[in-house]
Amino acid sequence: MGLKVELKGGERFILGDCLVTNGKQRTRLLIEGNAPILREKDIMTAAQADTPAKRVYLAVQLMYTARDPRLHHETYFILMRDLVQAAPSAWSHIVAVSNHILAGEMYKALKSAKALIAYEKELIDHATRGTSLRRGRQTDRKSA
Amino acid sequence: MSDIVLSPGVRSNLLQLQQTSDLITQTQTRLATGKRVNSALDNPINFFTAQGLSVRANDLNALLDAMSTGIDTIQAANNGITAITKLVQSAQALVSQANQTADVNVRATLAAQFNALLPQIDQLAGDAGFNGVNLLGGNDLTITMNEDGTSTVVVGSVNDTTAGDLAINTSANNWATGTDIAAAGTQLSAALTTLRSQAQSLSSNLSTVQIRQDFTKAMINTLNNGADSLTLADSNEEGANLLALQTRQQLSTTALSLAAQADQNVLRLFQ
Repeated sequence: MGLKVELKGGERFILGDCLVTNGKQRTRLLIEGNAPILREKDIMTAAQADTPAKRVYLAVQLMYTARDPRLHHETYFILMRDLVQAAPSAWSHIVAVSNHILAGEMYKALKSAKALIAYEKELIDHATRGTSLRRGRQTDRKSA
Repeated sequence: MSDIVLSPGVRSNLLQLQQTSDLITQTQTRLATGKRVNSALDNPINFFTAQGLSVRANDLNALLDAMSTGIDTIQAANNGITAITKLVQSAQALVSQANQTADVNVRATLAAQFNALLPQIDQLAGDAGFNGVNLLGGNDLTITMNEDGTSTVVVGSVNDTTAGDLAINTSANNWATGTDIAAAGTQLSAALTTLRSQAQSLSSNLSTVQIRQDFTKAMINTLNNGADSLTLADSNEEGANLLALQTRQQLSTTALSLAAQADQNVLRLFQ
């Protein structure tokens, strides 16, 4: 049972070691086999990965598309350790990602990493909203 | 019998003393264990989260044990194959010696030596097990990779006996004719090819399990780290921490090496 991919005009995706770009028309493809497949909307470039969780996503993505995922394990664990120390409550997401990697289900690992990014955004939003509320009282404080 | 009556002042002093000694105990426990949250009463959410992390780390440790037993089993089989290969090579030497002589008596002696080698191969194949699993004797090895058992690696067994996969027969006709010797030679080279391909498949299985083992070890470390650093209570603090980490990571070597890795990957095409 292959994977059905529907592409808009000019949409790109990664198939194994190649970048495939669609022509002008909409296209439907049926892909069979084991090569890693990443759609344009799922791809994170190094420039886009600017938060701890996005970097984890990028590392998982590198493992998914690399021929030898082992090369990226070390980076992955450094990033994970940083993240779990900064926000221990994210551990359930971290465990989900690691478990999928361990089981070799890289696509599911990417999905879990996406959930991790969403959770991180929630935490950061919460913190920044908190500062803006507190800003009113900052007048009588000295800057650090 | 008269009771001892405490005045309100004394009673309040006593209460404060008791509270101080409670605090001292708490501080001592924290110092002794290195953990801020030691029981469910200190901070229920953190306690149970941290406990969850530790339990998972323990589960993974159990898996790790199973993996190292698996690795030992594969290595035992690999040692068996190496030893059997040596015996088959000695048998090949006997065949080539027999080819170099026309003396029927010498050939008969060599044929007898050849026959004596075969049971040794069978014995080696029988002894190549570890922990009751012999990959050369028909016992498949299943290694579980995660707790719920959804991911397993099955190392298929072979039957490395002379009557089994190796298919080496005892010397025919005391090697009196060249045809008899040639038949033995053909069987031996086929057996060597079989052994070589079996060793290859074992080593690929071995590296799969070893990669998973390293990954699990690193995962346990991360979990323990998380459980230890679980002193942060509110999401505000975690959010602020994440922002700080975001800035810190921008300048780190990890971010640099991540970018470099992306440049070497197929992702570089996607700009």
